[in-house]
Amino acid sequence: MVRIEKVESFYARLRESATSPSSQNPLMIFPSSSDVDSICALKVITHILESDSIQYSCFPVSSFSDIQKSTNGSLCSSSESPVTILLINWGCHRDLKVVLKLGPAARVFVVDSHRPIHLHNLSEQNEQVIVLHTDDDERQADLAYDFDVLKLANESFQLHVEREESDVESDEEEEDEEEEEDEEEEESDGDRPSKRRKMGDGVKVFKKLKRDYYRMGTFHGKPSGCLLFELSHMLRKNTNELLWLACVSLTDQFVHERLTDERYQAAVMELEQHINSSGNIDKLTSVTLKDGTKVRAPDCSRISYEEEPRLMLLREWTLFDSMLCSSYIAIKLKTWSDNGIKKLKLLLARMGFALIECQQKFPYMSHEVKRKMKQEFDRFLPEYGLNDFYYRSFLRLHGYSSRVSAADVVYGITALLESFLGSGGSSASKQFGEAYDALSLNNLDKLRSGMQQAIKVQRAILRQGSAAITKTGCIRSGRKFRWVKIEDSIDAKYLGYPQALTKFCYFLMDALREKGARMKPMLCACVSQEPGKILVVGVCGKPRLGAVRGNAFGNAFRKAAQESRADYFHELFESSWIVLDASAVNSFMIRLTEKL
Amino acid sequence: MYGRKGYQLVKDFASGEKGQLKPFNSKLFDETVEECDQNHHLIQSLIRKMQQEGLDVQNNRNADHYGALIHHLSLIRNKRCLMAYVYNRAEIVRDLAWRVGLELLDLPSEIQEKLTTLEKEYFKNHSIALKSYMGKVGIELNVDMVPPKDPYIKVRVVEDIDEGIVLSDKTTNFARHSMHFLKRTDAEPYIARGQMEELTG
Repeated sequence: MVRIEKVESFYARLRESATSPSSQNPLMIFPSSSDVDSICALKVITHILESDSIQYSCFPVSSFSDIQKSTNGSLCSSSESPVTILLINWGCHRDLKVVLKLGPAARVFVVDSHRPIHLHNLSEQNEQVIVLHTDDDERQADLAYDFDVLKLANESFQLHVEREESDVESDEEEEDEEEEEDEEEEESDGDRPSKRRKMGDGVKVFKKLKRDYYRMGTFHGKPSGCLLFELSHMLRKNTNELLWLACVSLTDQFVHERLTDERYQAAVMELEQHINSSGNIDKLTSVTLKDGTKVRAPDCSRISYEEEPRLMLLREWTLFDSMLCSSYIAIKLKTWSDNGIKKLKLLLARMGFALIECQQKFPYMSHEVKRKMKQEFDRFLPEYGLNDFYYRSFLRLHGYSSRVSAADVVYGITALLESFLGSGGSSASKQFGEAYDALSLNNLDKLRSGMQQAIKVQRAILRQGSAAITKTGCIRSGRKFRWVKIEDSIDAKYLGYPQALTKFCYFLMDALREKGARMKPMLCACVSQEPGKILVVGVCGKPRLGAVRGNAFGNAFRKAAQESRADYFHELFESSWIVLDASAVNSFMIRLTEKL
Repeated sequence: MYGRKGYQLVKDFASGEKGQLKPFNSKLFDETVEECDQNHHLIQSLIRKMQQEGLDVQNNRNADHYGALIHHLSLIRNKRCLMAYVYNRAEIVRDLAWRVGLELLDLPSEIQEKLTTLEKEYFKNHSIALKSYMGKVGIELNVDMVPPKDPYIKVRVVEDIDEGIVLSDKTTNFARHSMHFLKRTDAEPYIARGQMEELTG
């Protein structure tokens, strides 16, 4: 049984495998260094492992190839000594047994929110790969399958094994194995032995289902941090700290538009119940001293849920600048134009906030304004078509002065993760360490520096986004998608990272919709941190409930890159991210038009 | 001004972080010794002068007497400063043997660079004495005095560690920036040498 449907049994197997006495290595954990969710998940699972005194080693990775460096080939070795590894937030969309060249004694556990899961990983016969994919998650997924995925997975794996046995010598097929999505090609290939064609209808249905499965495109399941928090809850090892991490995980998916509003709401409700039941409500708020004076008690590490405005990093910024730069408001008011700034000032004036007050750093802004903010925003913003300005979110209160919202933490930590320079994977793992530290309450300064970086990134998004929209011909429009290339070398330093570029894509898409353009998927290319390489990110629009497909760029990217014979790197953890040679971008785009 | 050199030497030691060594300030040290020599020389010449004048050196209170006294005080003071400098460094060197390890070559190279030959010699001798004593009583005396709450510890590797990884029961790869949860006793030597840092909170 390899698809594990319950978190507890997943952990039980992980523990059993990691503590097996014949093992020479401690449990090796490989968290993805490309999102906040994976740090949260790592913190939760390590907390649980530590309380069970299970030794582990943890190596942050940023691409598939990183893992072999850290394991010194112990994964592929044919020795008897068992090796257990745990992948966090990456890996399940590729056939892990093949990609990692697993030896007979290696065992891979995967907690990953990326969907779809490669069928071979899900199959019951593939004993070496164990994926956590809960029933709940499958039922609540943004995209639903109307067939039995498990059965399909078993058949697919069976076929794969048979094929491997029958033609061990032919190497060309091994290359194809990962590419099983490309069944059409194989079918059109006239040289195939007719053996399979004889199998008749059953096979045809199977192939159709499989194609449907992969054609759905990529999307995301439940955040790993929340899944593992559930585990800690069931094992009665949950703490407020872990609960906060779960909140941050969920907000990570929300901020990066990886889940539908409906699913966000449902998950928020679930977490709110946890917050209520872990004694966050009736904490003491005032203390009486010996002489009878009452003082306010520090809100010592409390989580609360509140309606938060969609203004990024408000507490670290000024109200004016936050409104100027936050995508939500900026796009509606077009704050990059003179007219937009006028509108923004007018809005503030109508709400009765003095401009001078709004340009104060938020902590020093007058109390009056802070108090009236929600009421006034609710009154005036609907006029501009901004109806859901306030959304339910989480706040962490710590000590007297520190109040951070989950969204701001996500912005800050993401900026920390995405500020490595150069090509060395080591500096990405250094940033992972920084981000890891910043996520704990004792390192507010590190978090603040990340937030300042996030502010710079957002300003760059606004600069480049407004430039692309106002200049005609900057955004090239194809039949199926639009694409844009960031030429500015200074802003490329801020935007040449997958998540930042994704935010940029969403900014452009929303801005174009505001202009009345037809909705089309968006592609962005930007110079990456490696010299001479271009990072391309594709976005298909915000996930919606009842949508038929997720992000369709994943498969198309690989095929287009292969056909344009470019040197490409498709090993990042999201299949809609790809790194290309600078010279190959144009031919890649032409191929891509044909693919979609 | 007399006595200033010694004062600077002590100041130089005190300006460093507590418990941390700075490179041995041999320039200032030699200058202080030089000043002591000078003082000594001048005292002698003043006393000789008094003796030549046929005065009673013990009881006479003339200008030369007070001159000699000033030089004497400066000399004593400089000597104390020199002693303090050497003594305090020696204390840190001894401490290194207790806290970091008994092998000189195990010390981080940046610490080794800061030691003079004599201090290295002192370190070795102190280590040998300690080792033989610990051998006699059969107790390892240089482990952490506070017993750990948890036999395991969470660490991050901050420097490249490539040679001689010794763990009691498992083998792993201490790549830079990787994090590990392992037995405290396995991690302690690396933490002492600054190659790993403990992760808290």
